[in-house]
Amino acid sequence: MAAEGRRDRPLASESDERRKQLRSRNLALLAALLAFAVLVYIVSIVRMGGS
Amino acid sequence: MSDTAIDMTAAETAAPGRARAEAGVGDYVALLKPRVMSLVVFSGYAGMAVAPGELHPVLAAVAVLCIAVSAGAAGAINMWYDRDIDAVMSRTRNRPIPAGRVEPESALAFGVFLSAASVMMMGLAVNWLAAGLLLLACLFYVFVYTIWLKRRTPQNIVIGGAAGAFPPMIGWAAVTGEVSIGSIALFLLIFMWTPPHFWALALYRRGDYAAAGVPMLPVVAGEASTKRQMLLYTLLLLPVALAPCFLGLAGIVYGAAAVVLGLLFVLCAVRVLRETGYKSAKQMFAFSVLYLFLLFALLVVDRAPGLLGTWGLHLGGAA
Repeated sequence: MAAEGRRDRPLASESDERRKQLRSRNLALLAALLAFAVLVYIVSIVRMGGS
Repeated sequence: MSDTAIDMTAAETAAPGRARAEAGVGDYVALLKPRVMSLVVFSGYAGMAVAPGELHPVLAAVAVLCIAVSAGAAGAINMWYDRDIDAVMSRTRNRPIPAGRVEPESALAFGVFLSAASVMMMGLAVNWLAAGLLLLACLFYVFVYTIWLKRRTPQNIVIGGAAGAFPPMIGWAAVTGEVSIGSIALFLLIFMWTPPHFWALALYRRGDYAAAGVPMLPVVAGEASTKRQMLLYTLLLLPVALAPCFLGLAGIVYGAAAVVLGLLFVLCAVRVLRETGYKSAKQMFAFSVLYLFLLFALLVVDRAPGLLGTWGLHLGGAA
């Protein structure tokens, strides 16, 4: 039982670490998508401006 | 081929414990080879700066971004294909794929998506010639250099170096919508610079390349032959670097710097030729990066008044 407890702790911390990594990756993806949308908007405005 | 299979096993078992961990943002950034990207971006920007004509600053920034992303994407696909030899070489074994932090398929998908997105964006925002050249550069790097030449011939870097020479031509095409003698001169400048730059690295990383089975010139032809060819390329680079002056793209400041820097590059090659160790090869590699950076920086500076005038006009008009 105690041995199992010892094994659980690193697994839980591994899972936390994994969740953190996944979250930061998802946030970066969201930021990239938002930046892309803003970029397309700005480019459209510039192109429609006739430059 | 069997070597590749063995190395592939090494790559896949390099870090079994870490293979299941989620890749961080930094690992995906590392796939884009940011250090290589910086010189690519700078030369692409320089191509835009010296090209005759004008481009709205926002579109110019988008063009630079597309060049950067496409170069990075090609780097990611290169890392996917070369994951077996990357695991063997000490310089590359900590890259995200051989270290087990990124799955090979994820790296490939990442590279292909970014490559397609950057080409489409360049076409829609700037022009389709620049987009076509961007696509050509990416395909050349992946298919001609990485897949075809790198593992087959010691001339891999000579022919494959063309992929790295495209950015100023793409920048030029973004502004003018055409390929002309001026952009070909800038292409040739990087094309002739690439062999001595890479062979300087290959000299002191010779053991790595030999272990990975990559037929770099020092591995196949020996150090003496490589050093002679490095000197030859630095000598050929002297007149090529002066071509922008003769074509009216740059003035006396650039011309003088091209002569001085070119002679220093030749001096580096002579020192490498005379030395038996690798100290001067390491110095030559470092100097080669500085050489190209300074040359393109001076090319921009020599055109700066016109460039600032054009951009000022645009920003004034927008206000």
